[in-house]
Amino acid sequence: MWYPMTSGGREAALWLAAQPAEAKPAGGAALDQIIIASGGAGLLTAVLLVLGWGHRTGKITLLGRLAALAERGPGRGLPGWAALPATVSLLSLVTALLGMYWDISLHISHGRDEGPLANIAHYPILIGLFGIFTAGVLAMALPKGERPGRAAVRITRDWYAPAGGVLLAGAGFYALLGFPLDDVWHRIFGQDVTLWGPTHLMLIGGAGLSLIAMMILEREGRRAWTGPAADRPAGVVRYVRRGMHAGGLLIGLSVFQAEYDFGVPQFRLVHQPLLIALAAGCALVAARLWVGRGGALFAVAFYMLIRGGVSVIVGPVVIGELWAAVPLYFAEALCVEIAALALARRPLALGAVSGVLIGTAGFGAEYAWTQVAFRLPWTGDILVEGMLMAVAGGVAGGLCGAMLAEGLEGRLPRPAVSRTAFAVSIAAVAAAVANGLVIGVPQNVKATVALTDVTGGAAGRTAHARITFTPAGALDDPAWIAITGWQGQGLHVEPLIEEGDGVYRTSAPMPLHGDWKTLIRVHDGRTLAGVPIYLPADPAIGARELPAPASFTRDVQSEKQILQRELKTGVPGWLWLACSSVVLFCTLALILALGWGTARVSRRLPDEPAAESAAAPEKVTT
Amino acid sequence: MTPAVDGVLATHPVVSAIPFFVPTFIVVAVIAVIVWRDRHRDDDEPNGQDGHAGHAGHEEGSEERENLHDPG
Repeated sequence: MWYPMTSGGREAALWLAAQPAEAKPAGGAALDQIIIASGGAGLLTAVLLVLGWGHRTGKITLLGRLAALAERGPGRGLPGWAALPATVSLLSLVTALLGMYWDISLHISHGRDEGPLANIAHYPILIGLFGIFTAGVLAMALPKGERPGRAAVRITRDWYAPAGGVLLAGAGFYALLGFPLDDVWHRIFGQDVTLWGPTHLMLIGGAGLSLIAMMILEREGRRAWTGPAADRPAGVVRYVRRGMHAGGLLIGLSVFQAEYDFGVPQFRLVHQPLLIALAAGCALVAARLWVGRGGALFAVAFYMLIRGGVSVIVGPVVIGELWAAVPLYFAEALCVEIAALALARRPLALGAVSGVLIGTAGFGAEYAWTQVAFRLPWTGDILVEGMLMAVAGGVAGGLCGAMLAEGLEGRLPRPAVSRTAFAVSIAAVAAAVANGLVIGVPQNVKATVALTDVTGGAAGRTAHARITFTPAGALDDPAWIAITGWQGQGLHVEPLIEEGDGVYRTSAPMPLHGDWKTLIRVHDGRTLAGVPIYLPADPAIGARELPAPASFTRDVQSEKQILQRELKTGVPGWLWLACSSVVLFCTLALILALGWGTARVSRRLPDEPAAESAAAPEKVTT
Repeated sequence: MTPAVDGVLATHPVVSAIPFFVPTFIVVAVIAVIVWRDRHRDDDEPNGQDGHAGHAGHEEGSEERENLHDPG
């Protein structure tokens, strides 16, 4: 469905890439770029609508033939309305994931862009997100003259759509809604150069959570399948397909960690173990219960294949951008598999116990892994709080993952239990995230920097630094202290070496020229602070150059003001609160809708052996 | 650090985001119109030519609506 756009988008993107680079303006994208992209998107929309209309009126059979093809191929054992969307959404998600990591890498190394069309990596994101939405619409449009299972949702008197299809389209819509809201957000607040901007979270969250909709669709499709017994796929097909879904969910829930993966987190380090444990708890417990024995390990293997593959493609070897480190997750999978040996028949207990194991043993394994794999390894400063956060995330995720798997199998606990566990899990994650967001900036602390040039000249200056903080005891065993240089056609992150009390030196020369923005960053407990060393002039935001003389003393200040120079000042707090509430409302609506969908398939498609064979689709009277 | 000058934005006009969301909105709008017309037909033709079908559909719809409010 989206191949025409793929082709058009690639041509447009290549055309864009061929244009000479100019200073980053404050204005918008060129009109011809908008026309090209709008034309491609319009064509795609027209094709989707015409094929959908043609299929439902019987005048165009292409969708039906494609669905039949998918039934015989990767979607064996599923009716076409589940098989074709599964294939489309799988390809779309991988495309969007690649675009996302490519885009983040470009923003880290090149800074902001002029508009949504000025960045080549935005095209795979757009294509991928629209592909997810398209997959949902296909699942809705394909069932004709039949009700696709008892969990289907009534659209019109003679049109029923699988709940998973509606939710898939909804997740895609939610993600794409992030684009206009992101633009409005930038207009009000200035560009927020961080992944964790509210509207950015919509873009990636919609794609990540669409995996749950895909799982629901798989369940509906499998129960509605009425093919001959000889065509029923072998158990291994179902195992692999479900394992891929669970691995996809692990990838989807892990995208929120991307700033940590690249080594430029703008939030406290304790968030990283929380996010890893939350993703592991939810996806791996669901994998073990839904896929079967070894399902958690299979999901991690699939995660490594896709997510690791994206890192390789985006990284220095293929595309030539930055390397994004990958959490290990194998230890967490082992925790779940071991816990399941005793608790596989008690899902909620398995979720809780797995969460505790993930938050402790899994935390320990990731702690060791970060020492070799991440630019900013975990340190003793986060040991206690990080582990508590990981336990909270692991248990909350484990409970949700257990309920997801049980719901998909038609065995969701009674509403009082499942709703309470769901609400408590969301509240626990919200509380843990909020805890991590409580930060401060030290007062009356200064840094004296002595630079020793390594290479000279305005075009290529690099230097070592010796930094003395006063008062000397202002920093107390920080989580990490490093030099970060970014947006100068690359990324430079080097932890500082402590020479004495409050005295640090660099381990590698830092860039101090061109578009580089170079600063000292200190994350110490709840303190998030920075000291700018060199910042270029930025006329579009009215910022003058901050030069780096051989020796200077500057205040230790809020690092957000240095890292996100584009943010407007003087915007009233209530406006930020109101806008954030809109995004929060949309997010809660999506999460609750997915919970509703899971409960619906559980209630309408209960775990009855007899039901599997008696699942003939109901004819809809027309 | 130099404070930003008021009125100068490093941003872009909403029009440049059109290809990113308008297609989705069009598809949703088309589905919404189809649903609205179907519901409208329910109101206008409760005993229309396809009275039997309408009756069956209405029953199902009631069930659906009821279940939408009771996700347990």
